[in-house]
Amino acid sequence: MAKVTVDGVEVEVPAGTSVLRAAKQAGADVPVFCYHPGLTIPANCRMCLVDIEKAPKPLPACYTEVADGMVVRTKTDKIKATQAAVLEFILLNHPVDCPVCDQAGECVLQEHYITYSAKPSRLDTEKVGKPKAKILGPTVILDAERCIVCTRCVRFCEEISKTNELTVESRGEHSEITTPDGVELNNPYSLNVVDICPVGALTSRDFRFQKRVWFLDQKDSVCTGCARGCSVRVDSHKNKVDRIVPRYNPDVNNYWMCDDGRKSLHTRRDKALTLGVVPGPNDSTREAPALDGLRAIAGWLKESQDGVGIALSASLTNEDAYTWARLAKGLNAKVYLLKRVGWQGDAILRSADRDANDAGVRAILTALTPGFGDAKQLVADAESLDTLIIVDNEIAAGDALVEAISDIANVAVLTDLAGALSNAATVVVPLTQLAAREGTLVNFAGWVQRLGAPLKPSVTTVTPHAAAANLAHAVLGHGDRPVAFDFSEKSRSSELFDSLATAVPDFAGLSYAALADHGRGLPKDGVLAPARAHVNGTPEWEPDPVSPTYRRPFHLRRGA
Amino acid sequence: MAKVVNRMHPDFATQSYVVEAFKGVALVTRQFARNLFAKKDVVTVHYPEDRRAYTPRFRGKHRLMLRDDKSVRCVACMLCATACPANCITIVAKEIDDSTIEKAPVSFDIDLLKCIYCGFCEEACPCDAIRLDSGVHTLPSYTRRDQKAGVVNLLALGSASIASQGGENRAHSHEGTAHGRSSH
Repeated sequence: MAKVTVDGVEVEVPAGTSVLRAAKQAGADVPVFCYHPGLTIPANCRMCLVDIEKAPKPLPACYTEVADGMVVRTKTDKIKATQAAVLEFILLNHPVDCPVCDQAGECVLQEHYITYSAKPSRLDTEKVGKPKAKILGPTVILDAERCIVCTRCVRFCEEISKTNELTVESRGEHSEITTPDGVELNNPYSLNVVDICPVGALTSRDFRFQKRVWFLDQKDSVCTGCARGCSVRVDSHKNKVDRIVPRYNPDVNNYWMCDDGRKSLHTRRDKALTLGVVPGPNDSTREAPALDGLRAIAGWLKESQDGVGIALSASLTNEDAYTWARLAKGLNAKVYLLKRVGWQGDAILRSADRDANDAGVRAILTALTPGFGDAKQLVADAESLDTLIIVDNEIAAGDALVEAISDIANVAVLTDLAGALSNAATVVVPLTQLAAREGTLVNFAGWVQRLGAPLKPSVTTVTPHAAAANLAHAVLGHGDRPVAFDFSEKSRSSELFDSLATAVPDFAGLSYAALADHGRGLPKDGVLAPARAHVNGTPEWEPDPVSPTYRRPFHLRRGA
Repeated sequence: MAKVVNRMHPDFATQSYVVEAFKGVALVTRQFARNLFAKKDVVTVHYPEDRRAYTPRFRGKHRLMLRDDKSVRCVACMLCATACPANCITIVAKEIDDSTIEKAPVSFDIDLLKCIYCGFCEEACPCDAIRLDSGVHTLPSYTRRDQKAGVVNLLALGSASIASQGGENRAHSHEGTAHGRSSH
């Protein structure tokens, strides 16, 4: 351990810690551009220069290691002048086109300029011109004039995606990020370079010009694209998802997420069902809200509770799986677990399993049902089933399965997206769209996280657990129910999860509140891993120190 | 804080309104006779044939200004939509082929029923693209939908802007020419 004094505050940090981290722990803000905690340190932006006693010149805080008894000053006149000078250099050829730049509002250069310089340009010659709106690949566009050549993107492609698509060309003020001839920036993680770009040089072709960032509502959530379950922040406006960006979680995804995960919500944003289908008189069908569909299903179940099958998707939340498993137990129904396919894993983040909650649903079904089958089993059992309820059809609807369910007399599909299975069903119940559902998910490594429900649900839809509660009350009644069903349709995810934690041994000891923002691991051998400690009210781990969170409502800030 | 109200204490003659009613009739008759014969001190304007002069600060229906090459000046930066207290401006941006221009509006809609004509949008605009000085203030229509002013609608009222393109800094390089807002 080393004792370091930063701006008069003494802190004790492990040897080998950077001065930047020690300063952060001491509460001193050191501005940076090129430093990113997830990447190597080039110390090329010179923004983090600090005064260290007995050193002849200011030293970069990101690269300098602490020494016992070190005295650091970050706010001396010399350092302030240095910071202003560094910013003047960086801004020398910057186009300052903030009004049309997508990064405005969450731009590190904007923030640092206002805080550390706020001086007008002294340049009286033409600025160096560089390519604007240069297409780097299928996902990213480069504006070379805005680039400050911090090389974060280059380092990301070298160290994280290991695809080496980006490089710096030329020298000095002519330096430019570019791809080698014939190569384009095209890898499954390419959009991370847009997140880590501190300025508006790299923009996402998907999000470009869609929204000014200060209009967006932010909500912490979890990516439902695969079994990794990356921690994300969902940005939405007017009840529509505009983008998904990764959120730092050292136990799951670090700072990154894959491009397909980012598309997982807004590719389906205009496709969400609001009305389902129920049979009308004389073999006709009509569009109907969720409650009508549930009434139709309850009608079948009241008539006969023999040969009932319930097929659950492995992407349902724990709460949904829990209520449906309890309903299945009450109905003595056969339970099937259906999977999604068509996904490739890799060694970085993407799990080969496409289902967001396979581990959770499996644990719950194992604990609460006598046994459950898979899609093959369902096809084999189809002849013996009279009623089949499929919950969430975003599953591999193979031809065999679609054909098999066409032989079953009563088929109901609860879903938020129309598909092959819902087309073959007699009753379709519209589920609340994925981005409006609350709940918890367990990733493949047993890490439990909460979904954030960034959007508001449509009134004609129903969440999967509310649908199960509704059916249980309609069919099992309130009196001589075979299994006590103690949830109402209005039960909240927090209540359901806490009940689940007592009923399913794999979840023992967890509670919804304790999951907090970054989640908790499932207990191993009955022992919960301790929650991560907090230092001074902030997590002990280090979030990206340079991504400013934009403010709402928008404050117009002016220079000196 | 309490406010002192000076109440009138009318006498009986005033309170009965008989005298006051005749006084009123006399006033109207006098003005009618003046208008009819003397045509002096006429306060009535024969609207819409005649109109009073609007002050330069009058804020009416919005218009979108044009560049010298007749393209729309708006760069879809959404600062007007940000400043708008009534949330009546909806802009959809697009990429355009012109390499000197970053983005342009595909649609620029103003909900005239929501608009409160405060003028914040023209103050926020960095490009002198939107103005409320069209002098149009009668906006009747039969449906709510007609109360949306789209880009075509707004451009129809616009004209080439007199503000220099690119702001003052660029005009700086060729000294001597007028920069910023020049007067006619």
